[in-house]
Amino acid sequence: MRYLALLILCLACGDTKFRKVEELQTFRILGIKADTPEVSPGASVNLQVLVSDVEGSGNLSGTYITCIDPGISQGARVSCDHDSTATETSLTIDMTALQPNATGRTGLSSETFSVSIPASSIIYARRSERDRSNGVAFVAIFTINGVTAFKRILVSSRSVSDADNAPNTNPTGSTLSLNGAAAGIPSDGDVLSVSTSAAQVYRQTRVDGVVETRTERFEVAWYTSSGEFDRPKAGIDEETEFKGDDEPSLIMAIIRDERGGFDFAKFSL
Amino acid sequence: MYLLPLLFLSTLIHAQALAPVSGTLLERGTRKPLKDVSLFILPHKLKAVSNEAGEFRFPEVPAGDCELIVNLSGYQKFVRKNVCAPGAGLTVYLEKVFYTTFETTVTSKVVKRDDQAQSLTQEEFLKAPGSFGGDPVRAAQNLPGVAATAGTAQIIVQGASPDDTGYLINGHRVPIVFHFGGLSSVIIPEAVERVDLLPAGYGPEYSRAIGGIIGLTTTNPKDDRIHGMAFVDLLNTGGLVQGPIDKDSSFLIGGRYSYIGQVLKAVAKENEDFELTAAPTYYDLTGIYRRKLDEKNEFKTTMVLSKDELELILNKPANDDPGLRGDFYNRTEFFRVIPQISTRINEKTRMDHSIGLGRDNLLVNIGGRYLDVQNNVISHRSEIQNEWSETYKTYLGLDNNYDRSKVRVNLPNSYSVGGVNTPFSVGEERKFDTEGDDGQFGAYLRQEMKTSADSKWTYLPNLRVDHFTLTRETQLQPRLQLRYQYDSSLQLRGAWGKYAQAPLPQEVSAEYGNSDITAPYAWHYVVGFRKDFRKDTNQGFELTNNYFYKNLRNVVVPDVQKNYRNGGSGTIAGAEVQAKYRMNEWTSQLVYTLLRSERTIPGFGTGPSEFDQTHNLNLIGAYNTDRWTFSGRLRFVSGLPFTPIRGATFDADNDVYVPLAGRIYSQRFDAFRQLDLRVDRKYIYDRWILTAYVDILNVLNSENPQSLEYSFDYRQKKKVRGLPILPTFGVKGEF
Repeated sequence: MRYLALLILCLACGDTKFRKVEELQTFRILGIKADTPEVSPGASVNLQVLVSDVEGSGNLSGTYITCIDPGISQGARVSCDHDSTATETSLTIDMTALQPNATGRTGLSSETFSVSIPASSIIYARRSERDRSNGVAFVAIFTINGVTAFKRILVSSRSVSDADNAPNTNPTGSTLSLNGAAAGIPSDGDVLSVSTSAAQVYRQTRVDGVVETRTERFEVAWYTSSGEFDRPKAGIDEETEFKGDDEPSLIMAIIRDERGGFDFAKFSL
Repeated sequence: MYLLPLLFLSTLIHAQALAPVSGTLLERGTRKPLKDVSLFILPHKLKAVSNEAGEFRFPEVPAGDCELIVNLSGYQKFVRKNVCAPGAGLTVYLEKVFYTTFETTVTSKVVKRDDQAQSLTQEEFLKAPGSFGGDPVRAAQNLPGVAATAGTAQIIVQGASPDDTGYLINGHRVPIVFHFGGLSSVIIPEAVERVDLLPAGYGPEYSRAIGGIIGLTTTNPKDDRIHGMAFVDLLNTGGLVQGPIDKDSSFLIGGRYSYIGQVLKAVAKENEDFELTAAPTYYDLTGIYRRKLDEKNEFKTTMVLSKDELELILNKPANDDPGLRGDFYNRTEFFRVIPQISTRINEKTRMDHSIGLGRDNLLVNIGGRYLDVQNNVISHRSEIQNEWSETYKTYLGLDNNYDRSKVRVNLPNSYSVGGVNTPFSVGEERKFDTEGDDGQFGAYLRQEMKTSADSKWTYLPNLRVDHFTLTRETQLQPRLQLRYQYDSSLQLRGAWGKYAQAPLPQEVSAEYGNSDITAPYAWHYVVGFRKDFRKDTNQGFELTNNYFYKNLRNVVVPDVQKNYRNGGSGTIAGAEVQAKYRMNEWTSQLVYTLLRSERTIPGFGTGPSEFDQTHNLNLIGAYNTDRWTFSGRLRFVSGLPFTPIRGATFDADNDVYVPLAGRIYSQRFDAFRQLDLRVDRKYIYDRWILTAYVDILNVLNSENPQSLEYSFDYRQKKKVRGLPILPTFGVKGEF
């Protein structure tokens, strides 16, 4: 009944004056993109950080560190303290060189951060066959301007030759629509949607040993420099309505699949 | 020659002047026949006495002016004129002076088998203030050592986790005892004879709950005549009818339906964050049949059906958990049929057998993640009592429970320490279908021993044994009790014993938990006394004082590697006092519990438990006039502890922040303060009684925060207030 208690809590939260999740103002890490979200042991992956710092100035600096997932989904603290070989690497993000553009100081870092995945003897040590086929997580933890974020890179035995169970790739070509037409800056009451590449099919082994064939589901997170959305989190096939008296200078949608795949679409003045 | 006509005329006049007058004497409003009551006809000075059925007859009453008078203690004087008409059949309704005070004139000298038990009879919880219109489980929350969390159905017994409390109906385990939100218990109160609280040190008849037991015993349907009741208030409506079928059997059927959902739907209509697609509703149905088979055997069967349902669409997710959005559906339902047979073999030996047959269904669906449990249940209790001599009595029994479950799960695993949870979106997926059995088989022996018949000491070396199939364990649990009956008004008692319970199914599940964990248990130590100053009335003062200590071992705690493990421990120590006072129109009660509840979790040290509430004070009072009842309850409870969150890390894959907990339960909410007031007014009619009431919860509109709400990144927080001032009103008709 914890979920029912959470629901009751939510029912009481309608009038809370918290900062809205879709609001872009102070510095935030909005996402971390891996060029290859799922790899084999021993591979290399390049990461980029999606940041927003609308009210800030200057470049960003920080560090990142990588290690085998300590069991974050099981409740472990997000850290690499368990790995004595993990070392911190400094980083800088040039806020004038963000992709696709630096408007609103919001975008993907042009800098890439390299991650080396350990060999199978290390990453798969004491892991079940189910974990190897579903994927074991290797995490990268970034700390930038006092904000900490982490990204999992799936390490699995999936092969590109298996069309129904290929390693995960990022969704691509995400495109915003405003009222069913080309993207633009919304006004109050306008409806926004996003489209992206086709969902991948893959196999996942359940905890009871049953192998399921699944189709990816995309979740969309909406952001704006002013105003709000009736659905700041939505499915890829759901629209969201913009609400606000002032036209925002930028809007953005981040598309995620459930296996670490990442893409985004930004529209700005 | 004039003599004969005069004689004839005289005879004729005399024959016409005398006629019988008969009727029935009933209590006004309840229609209860009043027996052995003297009725008088004046001025003829005739007297009749009513019989068992309230019938009376004056065989020869002169015609003409007269009046019927009934003057009975406790009732209004009754006078009716012109009753002396031939052939008159009267129905006389005699009105009581008081319809609001307690009727039992004998002190509650219910012979209690278990000295630790605290019980409330139907009359007590229907009429006592602070019971929200007579709810037995809500009334039990006014007992010493019992607390509740606002807005939920969780009952905390002496600082223990709600998962450590067992709920019983007629001795058989049921999954819930409250409808969701904790608003109302699952049985209509008029179908409950008694609610029992078994706290620390309870006897061997029950087990599998290291915190305590809340037990409801259904009533025997009334067999004197047909009774009925119906009510409607702001939140729900219901009714009940009971009465004799024949001279050996009687029945009761009652039910309630809640439309609280319609109220919530109207309130939530303007809220864009969620839509109530199906308004939350609940209903329950209770049926009881009782039959006296012969002089020695009695049969009774109880049927209970309960259903809670809620469906909504969360347009906006919870601030701190975006995985909680979309469709939300919850349905919790169960039914039980509990046939019982009691046999009085002889004056010293008695046997009782009962079984519980039923099904529990739980379905929670949150945006495609679900938990679907279908549980078929069969339970069994048997007991033989024998009084071997004046100094030795035994109760030997069996207490078995078998569940066959089908479970479908698609939920992330949930890690929670100190009340700080891994967000729904972050947990590792656990999707599986499974079927399984859970058997919990128990036997017990209660012994009552005295060195001599007039000894004040009673020794109770009791024993309980339980076998849990899920953990493949057999737990031997000695439970010793000691009683010193100084005199009829003063009893001292003590108890010591072991109490074990099986882990929760999800904790021991191979797919979700850890199949290697074993049963947690606790050692209880209790001393106390009860003093009754009322002598042989129900007026006066009663005092109960207990001191308890519980040592919890082998407690199941979350574990990063294995999901759960037996690594925790805890202690609960406290003192409780209950002072009750009743005098004529006044009833009052003071209940205070001082408590310290601690847990030790490996890696997190020792600190207050989630349910550590140092002070728990209830002051309850009621004043009754002939038709009015004014009652109130004042509560003061120490704030619940909570774990501060000192930061959060952004999970870039799941778009959620993972909270970083501070020292667990190191901070507390403000103390809980609440004043509830209620006014009842009775309107007495010949054949029924109407009661209207206004109940105002939280008159002072205290905020009473008991939880925190966080922004999406945990940088902002706000205390969530409890229920605001909440007036409700309703009417009830009964006969």
